[in-house]
Amino acid sequence: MNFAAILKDAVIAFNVFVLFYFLVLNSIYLILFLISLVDVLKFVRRTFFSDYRQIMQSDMTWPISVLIPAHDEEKTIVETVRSMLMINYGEFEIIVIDDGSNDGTLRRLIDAYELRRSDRPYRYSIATGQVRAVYGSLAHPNLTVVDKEKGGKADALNAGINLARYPLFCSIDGDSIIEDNALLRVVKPFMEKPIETVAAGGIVRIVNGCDVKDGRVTRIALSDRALPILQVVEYLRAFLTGRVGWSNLQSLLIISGAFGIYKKQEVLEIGGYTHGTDTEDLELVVRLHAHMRCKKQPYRVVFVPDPVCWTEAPETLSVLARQRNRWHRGLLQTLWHHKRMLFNPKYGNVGLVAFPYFVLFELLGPFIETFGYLAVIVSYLLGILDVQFFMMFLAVAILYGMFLSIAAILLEEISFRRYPGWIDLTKLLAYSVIENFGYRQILSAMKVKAFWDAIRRRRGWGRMQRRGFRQETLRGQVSR
Amino acid sequence: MQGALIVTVLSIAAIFLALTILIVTGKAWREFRDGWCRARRRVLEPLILKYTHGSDASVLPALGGAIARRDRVVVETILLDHVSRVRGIEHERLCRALDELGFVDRFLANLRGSRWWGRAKAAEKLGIASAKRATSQLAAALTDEVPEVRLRAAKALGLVGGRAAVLPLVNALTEPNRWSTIRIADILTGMGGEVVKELMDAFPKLNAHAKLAALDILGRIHALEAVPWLLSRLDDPESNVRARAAHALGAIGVVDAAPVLRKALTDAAWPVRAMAAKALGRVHDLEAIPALCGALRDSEWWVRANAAEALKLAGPPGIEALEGMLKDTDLYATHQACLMLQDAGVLDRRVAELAGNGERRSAAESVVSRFVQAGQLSRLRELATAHSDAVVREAVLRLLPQKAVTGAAQ
Repeated sequence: MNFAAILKDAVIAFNVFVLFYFLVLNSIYLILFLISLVDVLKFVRRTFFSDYRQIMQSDMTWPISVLIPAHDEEKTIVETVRSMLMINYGEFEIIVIDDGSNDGTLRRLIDAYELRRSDRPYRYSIATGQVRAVYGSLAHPNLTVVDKEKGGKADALNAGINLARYPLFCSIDGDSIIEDNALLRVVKPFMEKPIETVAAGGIVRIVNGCDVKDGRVTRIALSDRALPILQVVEYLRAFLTGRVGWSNLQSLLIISGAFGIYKKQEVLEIGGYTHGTDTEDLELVVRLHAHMRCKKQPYRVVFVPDPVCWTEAPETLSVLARQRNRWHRGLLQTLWHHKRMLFNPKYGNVGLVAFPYFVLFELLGPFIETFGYLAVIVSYLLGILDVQFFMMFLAVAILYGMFLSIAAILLEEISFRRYPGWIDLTKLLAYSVIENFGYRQILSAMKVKAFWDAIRRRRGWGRMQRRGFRQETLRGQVSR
Repeated sequence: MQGALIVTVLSIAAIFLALTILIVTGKAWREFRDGWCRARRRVLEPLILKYTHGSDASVLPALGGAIARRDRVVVETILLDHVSRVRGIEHERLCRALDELGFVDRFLANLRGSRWWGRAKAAEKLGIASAKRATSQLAAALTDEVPEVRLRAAKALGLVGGRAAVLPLVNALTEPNRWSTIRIADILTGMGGEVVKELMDAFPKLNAHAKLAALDILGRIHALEAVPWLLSRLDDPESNVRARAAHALGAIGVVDAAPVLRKALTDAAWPVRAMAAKALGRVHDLEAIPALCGALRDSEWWVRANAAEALKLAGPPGIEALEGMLKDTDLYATHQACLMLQDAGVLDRRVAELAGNGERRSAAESVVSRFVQAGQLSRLRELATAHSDAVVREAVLRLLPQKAVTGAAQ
């Protein structure tokens, strides 16, 4: 058998594998969508009877420590804190952890909120970098700012946990805005099942294009730029048809670092956030699953599709590449670190369903997609490409991608309807088609590169450029 | 194979197209319907308000003798919106209108429906409509298989009120869903004194978390008649019951409960000690001051914090005791006393006295020195730089350690 024949057989085998892989992956997507559809409808019906006012007024509502790690966030940090101070919730404290910022993050906070050094004791329940000072606010008794040496986001969050007074803590990114009722909505699972619920996450939406005034989103609209809109479609798909489904299967592995709420006791038991990964939010949830399974205690990690956290999305490909590179590296590090959970019945659905899915489809999917394109070229060169079949297969893949995106938009339209205008809806529909021609392929390439970087043990966040929230007031002044 | 692929492509394309059409037509229909409802509301609302503020026995003449089938939803929405906002005779008239137009009958029918959200909505609306004749059906809905329906039925019973609604609600405290229990407890609290007897009678039959909720309710409604019964709960074998009973006694604020609460300060379970300390603060029992000083040395933070708070609430004798505790050998007790004295503004007062002379000045110096020894320097540093009196600033700087003085200067 000569080399050409071996290559030909290998390429044919790979093509058959890709076809099988494609069928399995899309069947999973379809199942997740159907589960999500039922869950979202149920959720919407339940929210008709919102008890949020009662939750806010009740003495029995769990108080929450809101942790905001910040590193070089001077453009957005004051707005973020202001939005948190205005949030509708009974008892809560805000702890901003300035993780060795090089810009004016701390100074802006000191000026904006009349901060003074405080004697509040800092206990190293979880080991963290050196805390230089703890500040209290004269204007807002529930605001504390920690100034610490740079140790990364995980270290900053651990410092916040050390200082937190309350049994629940909520982690929020320094560049995010939380809706008024978000905490009330996300705490509800803890109110309903206080023993079992150990963590809950909310939906993250993209603020680019929206108007922000005094730390609140005052007008919701899509950006004028293509890249943020593509990410809006992607986020809708990931959250509404992905996480809702995984949450239903009790296999939710990710609670977005931008907005998640956790029981402090359980997180302390596992030693807080870990430093050994680029996605500390994913790793924490996976470790929580492992810990609770080992304790053999009934527990749940819940995704609540209604609380909204608005966050700034990358507007350039280079920034997007850095962000996705970090996410994918973090995924690889976490899955590798917890590889004992893979196909391990001890971890229930998490080990038998979610873990294999994340390894086979989320982690290796971009490789298989990229190699698939290469295989097409090689098949063509070897003269074994059935062009008609290939075109059909490509059409199915693209149409199925479009179907999944449009299904997510449908879920959004029958449930939360955050984008009220016809123009926005038209844009979403159009971009759910456009994203299949280039954007998805670029994302796959970024993830392949991330894999390579992870193997080379390249670490870090990369520089994330922030434009700051679009200010309604500033816009008004300019137009005048 | 290719045939199957063609069919797949066409099917997915058809589904894609169908979903797109569904989204667009759904949005268009919703906007049209909302617009139409707003227009009809503009016409119908003034007519209903005229009836509400008028004296007609029936709402039908105001609506032209009958309501068209297409207007029923709009009329129902208007009536339910307004009935929850008004009281007295206007409330009664709107409730009567809801009954007269057949809405209450429809809600009752929906309460027996097969869809859970339909039953939950019906229960909610029956509550808003204060439909007294629905009490027994709402009580039956407390055993519905869906928690949401049970919770709405409980809320509705609270709104309907009356003794017939109390017992089912007390029994519903055994709900497994914690949030439902909290809400039912809120509802019972809102009903006031009429629930006390039922709560005490039902107590032995309630499960653990319902018992705690019942004790909380008695405290929140300040049920004086329940005090002897609550005192006897301080001997309950279950520590959570003892803790909540102590908390309830504190919330009611009866001085007669103080001796028993003082005894509870030595309970083996720390939640009971913490709640007893808190309750003693609320009943202003001066005889408890030595025991509360002892509780400042407790191994549990909550007990220490509540004891310090209770001493502050005891007024000047309590503050004096807190100042005395600054000399204590137990560092936790000293720290807690410092925090509370600072919180009560005592430190600022004492610092101001540094400008004087004689006994008051030496007493002030002693207190400030104790703060310095305890490492509670933050406020002192501020006063050393920002106090309006230069003599005071100088006196504080003299008492502060050199390192802290440098910090204050910065």
